[in-house]
Amino acid sequence: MANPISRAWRKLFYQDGGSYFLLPKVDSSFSNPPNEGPFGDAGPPVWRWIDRMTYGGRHATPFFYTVIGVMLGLLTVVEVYFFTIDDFFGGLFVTVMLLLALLKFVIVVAFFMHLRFDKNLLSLVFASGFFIAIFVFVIMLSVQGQFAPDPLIAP
Amino acid sequence: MAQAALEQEQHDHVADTNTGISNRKLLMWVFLASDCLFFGSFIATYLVYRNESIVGPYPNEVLNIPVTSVSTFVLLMSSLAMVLALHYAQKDNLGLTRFWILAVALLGSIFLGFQVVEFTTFVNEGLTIRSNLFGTTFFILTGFHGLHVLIGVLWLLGMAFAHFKGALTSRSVEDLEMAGLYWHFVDIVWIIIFTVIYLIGFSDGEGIETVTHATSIIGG
Repeated sequence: MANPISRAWRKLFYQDGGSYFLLPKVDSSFSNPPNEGPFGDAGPPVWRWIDRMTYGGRHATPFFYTVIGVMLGLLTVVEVYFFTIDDFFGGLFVTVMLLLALLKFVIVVAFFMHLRFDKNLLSLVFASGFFIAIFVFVIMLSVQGQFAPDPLIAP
Repeated sequence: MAQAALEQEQHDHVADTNTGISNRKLLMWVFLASDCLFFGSFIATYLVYRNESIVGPYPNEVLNIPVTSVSTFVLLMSSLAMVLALHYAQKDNLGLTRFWILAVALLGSIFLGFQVVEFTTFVNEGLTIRSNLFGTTFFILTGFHGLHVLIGVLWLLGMAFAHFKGALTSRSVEDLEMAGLYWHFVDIVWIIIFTVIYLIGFSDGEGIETVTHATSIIGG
């Protein structure tokens, strides 16, 4: 490893790092771990990092869950902080808030509800309900004219 | 060899079903997916009637963001406690399992306490389910969520006191997993409600002169 910080990081969180917190172990020769995802090792580095943290394991450790819990708490603090600043994002405020909520939603579903480690069928079942709900949601708002531009007022 | 096979089976948690997933677990996920539609409808209704209230009180006059932020944090931490309870149940540690289940029930009760205080304050400030469209959609949505939390608390208390009298069995661990899935779902619904109603919807009604129902009838 390049430096002591990254070495400590690896030691703390990685499967091959000495298991300070007894992360689940897997056989390194296991070439096709369950639910590695449709894109294999592709994706942003943070996703590969999460993969390594819980690689092949169905359940992580209390420390891992606590890290996730702290992250959720911090995201809530960030949300409220953005809320308190007047016109911080201007017109993007709603978008930023929804993205932060979506991030928290995904974290809870993936790690606390174990969808990341469970069979893909369960993800499919839940995603089906979620996206149908979003579809109904959008249709309902469209029918009620929530997405329509403001009516022009005749001079 | 047999031991290795057993460990592998425990690791994979393959149930003796067509899907390899416990039927109860699959049913719970189907239920949660349907509950998405349930809450999605209420949230959509809230948004449809957003800013449509003719009389006050309006959201910016009654919503208390600091207090609700604390209650949101409490509910998030209850999810952490829930996942720890399940972890220790799978490790066959009955004492810690029961401890974390009671912690979840306690945190859930605190959240409900916050909600009772909030509702009472709103009613004292003139916002009831019949005051205006905001009141109707708000109380219906958050009330049903609160009902879900209450059911979850009672479910967990029942498990803590009745189900885990003896040793943990695979059946009781699965029961706890079901309760956990339900609890986390209640948590993610609140994540959306907190953002949509409280943080985004707080500014609704800004710049509108408050007209109470009574004054609108009198014509004041």
